[in-house]
Amino acid sequence: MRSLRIVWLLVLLLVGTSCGATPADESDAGTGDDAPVTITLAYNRFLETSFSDYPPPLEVIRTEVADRYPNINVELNIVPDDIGAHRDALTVWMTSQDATVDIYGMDTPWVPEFGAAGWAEPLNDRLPDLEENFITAGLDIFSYEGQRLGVPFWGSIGGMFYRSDLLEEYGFAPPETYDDLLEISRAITAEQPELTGFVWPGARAEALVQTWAEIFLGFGGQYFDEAGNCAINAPAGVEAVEFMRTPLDEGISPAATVTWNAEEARTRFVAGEALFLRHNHDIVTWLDDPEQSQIVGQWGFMSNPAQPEGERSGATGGFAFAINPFTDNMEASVQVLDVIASEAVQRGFALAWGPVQYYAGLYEDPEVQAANPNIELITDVFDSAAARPPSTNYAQLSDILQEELHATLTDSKPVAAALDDACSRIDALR
Amino acid sequence: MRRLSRRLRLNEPQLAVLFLLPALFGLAVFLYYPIGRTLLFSLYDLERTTELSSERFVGLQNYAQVMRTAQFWRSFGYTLYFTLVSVTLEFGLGLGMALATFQVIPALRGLLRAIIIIPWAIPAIIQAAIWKWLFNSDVGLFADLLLRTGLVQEPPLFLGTPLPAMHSVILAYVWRGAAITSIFLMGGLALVPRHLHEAAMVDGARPWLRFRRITLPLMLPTIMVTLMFRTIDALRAFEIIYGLTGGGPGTTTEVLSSFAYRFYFSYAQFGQGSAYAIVTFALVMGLSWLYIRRLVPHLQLRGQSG
Repeated sequence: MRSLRIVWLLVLLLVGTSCGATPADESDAGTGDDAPVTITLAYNRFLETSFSDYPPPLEVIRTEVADRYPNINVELNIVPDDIGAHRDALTVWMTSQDATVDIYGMDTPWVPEFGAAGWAEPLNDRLPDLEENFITAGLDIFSYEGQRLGVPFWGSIGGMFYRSDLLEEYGFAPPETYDDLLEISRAITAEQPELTGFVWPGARAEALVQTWAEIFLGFGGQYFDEAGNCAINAPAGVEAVEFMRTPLDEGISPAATVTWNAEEARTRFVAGEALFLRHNHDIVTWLDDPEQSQIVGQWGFMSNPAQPEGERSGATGGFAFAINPFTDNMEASVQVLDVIASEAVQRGFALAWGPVQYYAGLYEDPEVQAANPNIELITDVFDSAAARPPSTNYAQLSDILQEELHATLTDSKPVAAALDDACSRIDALR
Repeated sequence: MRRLSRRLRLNEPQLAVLFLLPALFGLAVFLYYPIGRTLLFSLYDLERTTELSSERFVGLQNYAQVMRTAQFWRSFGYTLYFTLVSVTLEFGLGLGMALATFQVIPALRGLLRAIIIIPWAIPAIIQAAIWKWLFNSDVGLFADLLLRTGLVQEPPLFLGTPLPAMHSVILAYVWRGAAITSIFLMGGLALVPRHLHEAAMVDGARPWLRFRRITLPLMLPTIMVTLMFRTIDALRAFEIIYGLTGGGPGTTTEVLSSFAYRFYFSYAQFGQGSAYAIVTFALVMGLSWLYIRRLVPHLQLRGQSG
């Protein structure tokens, strides 16, 4: 009997230590109107970074929240810079209905999936003033089935950066078509062999999908046919990917391109080592800063080239803050999101990060204009805005495209076979 | 032990059960329950939720999908190749390092062992970042050395071309694995009685003969256990490969574990992800069973006659 009691005590002890440990009293957060509440934002480290002399966005958010809601403390849960890893963290939280974060950064391609899954709190009733203050197109990007799911704070678009000084020196206009881009690269690198022609992100990552989407649409491709079947293996799609291989085969793009992400490609251009760079628009904010750039006053930015049968296309991206529907602090989360949607915070993003914010009239502010002298370069590029292939299984679709495109760029698979495989896999997703 | 047994009024087997209880509890909670739950998940069409009651029972459909996925079987082939090459290299290097620690003067032995264990102490994902820089074709050490010595004219694309990428990943993994292999084997070497070597030396046996006839046979149980652990670890390798190549170029370094990871954490398809996890588990179990069958005859367990 005594021995049984000892065994039983041992089991109880083990169960107790495994299950009984709970964090110190966290359950009172949010009780009562003025009770202290901590709202946690999930975003990468850049939220506490400024690319100008103005304070970083997180500081502005905290100041404004403290001003309007002194009981709310805002914390940042730093997620990885890598978009895929950022998304994976959210997937784990949302599927577990976890309340670790109250508000999180949501990328544009995730909207259909997060909307369908109910992973973002609908905002139409909670923040009815959004329509009045924001440009509708900016809100539409983060909407699903008529519900606003996020407050945008930064939008991006892909385009082509070029060395204006070198093009002028050799008598070339900025390229109209992708063929022009190759021709100019060949001509100038023949004269200056130490230069690289075209740098772009070719690693197996999301930036490869963005780059491909722009080139694919520039060659006249369509993601899906009228029946809704994948059509990226049509002749235009094959030509687009063959174009992507040409600069690698000819040495216009370094062989290492297939291991580069956007940052590695950008570094070469900013160091003055390349003629053309495919990149999101955001670096216009600091490319003329001599502390960060060696090509001050020697660059231009334009919408991506297109073949005669295609359209100039820049893949849109950008983030909105959305509310975790499983938060324990819904009321305070809505209050913080309301602050993020205010002019003061949106202006803070424009001053610290540069464009694009969708807050109406923001860029008429003289201080915002002074802080963003290159804003006019972006206006034309935004006319070429194009979405990546839409899907409620975007993460899987993107992985398929990354795998098949990278396989053909690294000579593991012929172009046509890779695109056929991509299409059969994409069609199987539905 | 006998006193404790008497005080608790338990006989020795009962006491053994008592001591096993904490471990059994841990295994049940952290291993058997998750395995059972994963098995159950694999029979459902679970997308973005783990609530079984609201989702559709699909039987073996998820497994049929695994069988139809050509990439899964290509990854199985790569995983086997990766395991075979890396475990072989780890064993060779690990044994060499372990023997070296017994050859140096005792004062240096501790230092040498500390140096050997360092690669194992660094987390795999951090090692992946370190190796990624070493393999970088623009600013990496290896490309620079090859260029400086004139062995190549262009910096090699270690991680951007299929064959070099596969072997770069193996090299990074072996660097880490050889350390722990060496530690295991040091334990085995320490058990080889010194007097047998001394007697053989008196008889005029040369070092290679002593190694082959004395050291190796006496170390065989340790070697088998080491190989089994390292093989299982290699079959499940993920972090260092994910951190180094992300499965690329294309899908040439995609390993079995990456399927379960992606279906769970990227796609939130828990039913399909569980089927991948169970099939991977079964394959690893099968290979481990083969090993254990070979291992048991070489082990002398307590209670068995020698």
